[in-house]
Amino acid sequence: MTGKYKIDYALREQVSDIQHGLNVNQCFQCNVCTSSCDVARFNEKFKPARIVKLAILGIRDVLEEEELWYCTTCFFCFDRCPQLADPTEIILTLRNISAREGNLPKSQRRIAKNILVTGHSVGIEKENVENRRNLELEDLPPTAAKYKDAIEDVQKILKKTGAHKIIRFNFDTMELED
Amino acid sequence: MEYGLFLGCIVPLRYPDIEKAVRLVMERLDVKLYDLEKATCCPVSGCYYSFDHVSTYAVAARNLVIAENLGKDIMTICNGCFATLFKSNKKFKENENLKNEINNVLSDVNMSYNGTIDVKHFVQILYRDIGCETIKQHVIDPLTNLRVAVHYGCHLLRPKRVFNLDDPEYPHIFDEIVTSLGAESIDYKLKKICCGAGGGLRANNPELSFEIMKKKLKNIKDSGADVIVSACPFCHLQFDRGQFELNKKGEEFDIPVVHLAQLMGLALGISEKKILTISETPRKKLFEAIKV
Repeated sequence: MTGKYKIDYALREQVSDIQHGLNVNQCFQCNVCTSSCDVARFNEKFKPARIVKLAILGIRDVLEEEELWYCTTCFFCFDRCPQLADPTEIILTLRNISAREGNLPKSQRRIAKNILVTGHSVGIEKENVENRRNLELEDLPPTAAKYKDAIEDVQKILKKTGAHKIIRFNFDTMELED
Repeated sequence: MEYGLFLGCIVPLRYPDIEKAVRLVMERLDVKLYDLEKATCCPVSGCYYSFDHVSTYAVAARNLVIAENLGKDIMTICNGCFATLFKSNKKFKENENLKNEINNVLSDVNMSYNGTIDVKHFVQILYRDIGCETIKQHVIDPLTNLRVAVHYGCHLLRPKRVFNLDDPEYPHIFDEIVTSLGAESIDYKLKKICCGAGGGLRANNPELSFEIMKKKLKNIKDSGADVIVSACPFCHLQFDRGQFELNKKGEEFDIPVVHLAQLMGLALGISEKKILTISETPRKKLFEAIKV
């Protein structure tokens, strides 16, 4: 690592606060996580142990790195970590912090928006209605796809938790901002 | 036996043939399913848990309340739904403060969760609650000589400390179910690796996601498998549409992809025309293999 970094030791407490019981300091950098990682096999820049190290050192630059979003959450490292430091959960918690700083990838914001607008992560396609009919299933499944008041519920819930602010979703236009 | 069926998103809205298979297979096994009316996305962990844990728990809790009001445990047919709902449910049962915080959010929609139900995975219900012996007794058309590549999918096995369904290093429950249908569960290199789709990677970085998948598909192809079976519609979608996408770039993959419910349906004597109607990757090879 070269150059100047934004050091902020509060980062590790911030991680512990969001995720009760998660102790970043448990990590002693054995690298079992990185050697267990399916993504690291294919991308040399992605190293779970490095991400955890940056969190411990309070190097906030980790929050802006694209690689933070490469974890598939396979949880191999979580199960194999000899220190029970929960690397997967550390990465996901760093993502929570990063998202609040405006770094949530657009693709993720779109999926989040789908749930706010339809109650489901994927939309209803005309072709699917035909497929369901051919299978002798109801045109729409008995979920939020069929019952619009379920969508209103989800909107009320996510308004209260403030999810819309993190994904920058505008309830007036029902669209993502920018 | 009775469960509240949690459909999720991809099954009812992209692969309803899986939904049909689940309903018909459970009927044959004398399991009564109740619809969880007005359920939403679980919500998808790779997206929601990545940006706000509390929002994830709150939407999950609303889904749990629907099952609790029916007085039924939940059956999930997706590893992703299982992971989100199981983990949330476990957290609420263990952490009173979190449960109260989430119930405060739910009060805006006149709901409250008491933590009286369990969340179970389709594979878990088949293996633990129904059992392979009972499954064997219901087999009408054994899948003799069918070579099956089982893909467990990450969130059926890991984190073990949370789910504790099987040994994540040497899993066997899914293979045993496949064997009880008369088929052979074959071994292949890197059997346990991820399909590449999870955590938002498929949407964020499709190239990297597909590289992981390609490795897995190559190993399955080399093993000579007739079919890939999973019990996760997101892995299913990744393999089914992914082969189609890879072939556009010059690869030659044609391994049929099915959900475990569909494979079971075939063994239980249900016509493929009723339960295997939607796929990007042709299933002709599978249908030929089971007719030999």
